[in-house]
Order: sequence, then structure tokens, then C-alpha cells
Amino acid sequence: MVAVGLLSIRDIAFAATGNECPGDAELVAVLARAAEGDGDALGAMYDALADEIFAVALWRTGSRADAADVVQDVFVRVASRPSSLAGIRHPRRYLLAMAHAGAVDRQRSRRPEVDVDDAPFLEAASLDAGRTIDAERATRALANLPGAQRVTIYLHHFRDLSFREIGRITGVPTFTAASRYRLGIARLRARLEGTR
Amino acid sequence: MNDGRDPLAGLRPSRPPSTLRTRVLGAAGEASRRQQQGIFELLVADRTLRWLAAAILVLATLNAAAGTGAILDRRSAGPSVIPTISGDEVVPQLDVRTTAAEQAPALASILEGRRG
Repeated sequence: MVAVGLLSIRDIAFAATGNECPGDAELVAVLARAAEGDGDALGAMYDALADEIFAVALWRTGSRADAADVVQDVFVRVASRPSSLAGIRHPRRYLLAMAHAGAVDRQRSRRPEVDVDDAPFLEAASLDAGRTIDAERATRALANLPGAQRVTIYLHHFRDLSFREIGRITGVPTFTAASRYRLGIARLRARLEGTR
Repeated sequence: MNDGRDPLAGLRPSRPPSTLRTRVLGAAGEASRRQQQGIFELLVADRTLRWLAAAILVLATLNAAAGTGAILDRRSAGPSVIPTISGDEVVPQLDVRTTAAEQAPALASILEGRRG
């Protein structure tokens, strides 16, 4: 990608071609099995998407408990209406959008006096003590960002989704998604540099 | 990351708790079974549905006992008024097979009686 805050070449190519999310072909097959009532398909779907669904909900709400509930809500809804999955061409986008909407609903319905749990958004990719400290610092910095910016950072940085795709998942225009990322990553960097 | 100063390098998003898979798939399986249940299984499983079904049954029984026919009779029944015409008051019909001139003799008495 080219630069933070600007639409990348990948984004423009994506917008022009309307390509689907990576890995969608396999997920379409899994969803087709789930739509036919195959119980094992739900397990395969969980293994393929639960990490992402959980992370979207966690980064949006800031609460691991809420995120776990959102994952459960998504899968219960899918299991309750399997026939509704039959015509879905972009299952990853569909399920992440469902998770995002569920996370927003939970965040809105949460009473303001109830504190969210101290959710670790990040963990070290290796068993390195320095990285563990970095993860804790980054988590504290991320906790101070609005959920909308945080989830955009997650989807773009860790899932490599285009801003167009992020906009579709979060229900905002492409440029709003790009703007949220640019603002969020700038604030994150400023906070991390301020704590060094 | 998009530039050289990646503040998140070497980090990855935290994962869901390992117990979540069992919990989620259990709840999803339960939802799937409920979705596939027939009406009688749902009635057995759900107390609210049982109450609704019982209420509908009671109302239907009461309605049948009261007799729906009686209600309809009360609405439509009443003294029937059928107009009757005596033989003297029968209005003569024109015979369309003849001309007016040809009918004139037959109608003369009637027409004169009206004039008179």
C-alpha cells in the first residue's frame, strides 16, 4: 500500500473490479452447506471466522464479554435461519457486518455507569518480553480511541481489507472509513510516542 | 502497515477464549434444533405457546357451543314481506307481436276507463 490516509492502489483496483474478500470461495461453500442444514458447517464456519468476528466486536465495544456475546449472537442467528444464507455471495463481509452491527447495538444498550472490562486488544506475536510490554502499551493507547476508529484500524491493518470493503462492513462511505483509519492511526502513534 | 513506523509491528489481535467455541456451537446447535422443530414439539417446549393454544381451543369450543348459526339467523331473520298482486291489478302487457293500431281495440276499455 502507498500511504496512510490515502486510498491505496489496491483499494482503487478493488473498487473498479468489485472483487470479493479473499477466501470467500471456500466460505461460500461452507455457507451453502450450512444453508442445507449441515451441522458440521457451523463448526467449519466458526474455525474460519470466529477470530475475526470476535476481534471486530472486541475492537468496537472494548469488552471481551460483549465480544463473546456478539460471536454467539451471530452464530445463533445463522443457525436459526439457515435458508437466508443461500444467496450470500460475500459471506465474510456479511458476517463481519452482522457482527459490527451487533457490537454497535451492544455498545449503545450498555448502561454508561457500567465499566467495560480491561480488554487486551493485542498480544505479542512471539514469546518476547519486549513485545508483551509493547502489546500492553498499544492496548492502553487503543482503549483511548473511539470504537469506530479502532475497528477500522483492525480491519485495515490486521485483515488487509480495503477501505471500500471496510465501509461496507461498518456501514459508512469509503472515504469515511479511510478518514477514520488516518485519524485513528495518527492518534495511536502520538499516544505511543508520548508514553515512550 | 502502510509506512515505515508501524506502531503495531510484532503484535497480533487477541483471540477469543478457547471455551467460546463450545459455548457458541452449543447455542447455535440448539437454535438449529428449535428451527427444525415441528409445531407440536414447539408447543411442548414453550409454555407461552401452550397457553396461547389452550386459549384458542377454549374460544373455539365456546363458539361452537353457542352455535354460530343462531347468530347468523338473528342478523338475517325477520318477517318476510313478499309483495302480492291480485288478479284485478295485473297490468296488461303490450303484445309486442302486433302493432299499436292492432292493439288499440284490446286496450280501448282500459284506456277509456283511465280517462273516465
